Amino acid sequence: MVIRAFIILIVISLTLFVAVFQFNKFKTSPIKYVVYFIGYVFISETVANSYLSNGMSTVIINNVYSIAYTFFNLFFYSILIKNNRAKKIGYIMMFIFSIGLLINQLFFQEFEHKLQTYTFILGLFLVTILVFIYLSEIMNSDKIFKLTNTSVFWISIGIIIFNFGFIPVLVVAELIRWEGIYNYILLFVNVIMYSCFITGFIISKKEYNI
Amino acid sequence: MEQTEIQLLVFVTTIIVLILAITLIVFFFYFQQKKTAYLLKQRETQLLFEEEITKSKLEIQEQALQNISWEIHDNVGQLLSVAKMQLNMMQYTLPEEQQAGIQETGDIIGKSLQELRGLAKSLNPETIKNKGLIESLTQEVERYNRLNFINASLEVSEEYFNLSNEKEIILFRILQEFCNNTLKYSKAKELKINLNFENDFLNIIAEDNGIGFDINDKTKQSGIGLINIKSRGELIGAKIELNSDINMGTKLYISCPK
Repeated sequence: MVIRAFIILIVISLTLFVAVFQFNKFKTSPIKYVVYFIGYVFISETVANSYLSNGMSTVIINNVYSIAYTFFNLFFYSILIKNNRAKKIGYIMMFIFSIGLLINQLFFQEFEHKLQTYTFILGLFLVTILVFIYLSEIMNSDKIFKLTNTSVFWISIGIIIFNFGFIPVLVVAELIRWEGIYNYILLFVNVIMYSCFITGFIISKKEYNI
Repeated sequence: MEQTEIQLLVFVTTIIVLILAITLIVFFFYFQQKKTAYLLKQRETQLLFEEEITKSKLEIQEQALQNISWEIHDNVGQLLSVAKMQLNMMQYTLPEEQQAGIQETGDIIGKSLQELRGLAKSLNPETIKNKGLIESLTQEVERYNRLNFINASLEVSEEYFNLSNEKEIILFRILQEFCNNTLKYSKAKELKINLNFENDFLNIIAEDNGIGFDINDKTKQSGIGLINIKSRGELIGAKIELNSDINMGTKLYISCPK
């Protein structure tokens, strides 16, 4: 297994471990869905790595991951957002993403053999916008007082850094044949994102987790 | 474009974008701190303002009660005294069989005068200041018992201390309001007031065995002056809790620091 992939798997495992250990804090809040999703990511990464070691193609696993990542985040933040109009924006984004996925499938990047970079970029954009909408809603509510004590804040920071950092390299990924800088940036943004998640899970206090 | 050039370009772009993201996050933090500080200051000012308003309301209320007390005592009280004196004088000019009737009327006027004096005293904040909380409450309880439709009692712990005038007047008014509510609404047969002086706290329990009310009914809360009671309590740092349920009576807990 490549060292980089190994490090990412270690970081994900650590995040999952901390999340399960601190699960009592989020049992009754939507953050438990994040824990379940990290569980899915762990399984996906493990399977992908074993496919790679056996020389099999991981295109489908990666495509499923990119779609799951987008849908999950759009869904998660739509639940968190209280304002009904903003919630609708989340649902519309899911719809737009679905359309984008379908179009990409049919005309540009076939699902089984090509990595869905275009849809992933679209997804990352949409998720980033929704996260900012959520953060601006928090700024105008009482939650602003104990912001750094909530897990969602740290999760949002992690997602923003991942999305911002990953989009540029994803645009040219095919050109540089998924090598070199692509792998380093992928490693870097993953480590930062999961570190934010771990910080959020550890620092947050139960009463502030919604 | 060569591979290395593309890689370099992507690297630089990513760095720039990440710096942008981090700058946004730092701005966000800074803005959050400022807004939090501002909101906290605003809330503090609002609380101080509300406290001042409550204090002013109380002062006006006490002044009004004092005026009423004077009116009752000086005006109505005097009139009744004169009426009693005249009846006494008239009594001896009448035949014997009519004297008993006049005597009875005189007694009733005498009782009314006594009750009026008692009422005037309970309204007058000066009396509470002079006599202190315990004696004022004792007199108030006796006044309720004289009405003959409730059995009121006051229990005081062996050791006691005096609180400041301000606290004693406010505590007395709170208990007076509670007792008036009991008399007006609860149809209770018993009213118990318990004063427990412990270490640095005065713990008061006032309860009746009446019909009670639904504690979650907001309309009842304003009718019985619950909000009033709580804001007065806050002024002197006292914790106040009111418990009630239909047909289970009503209980008032007050914990006031020395």
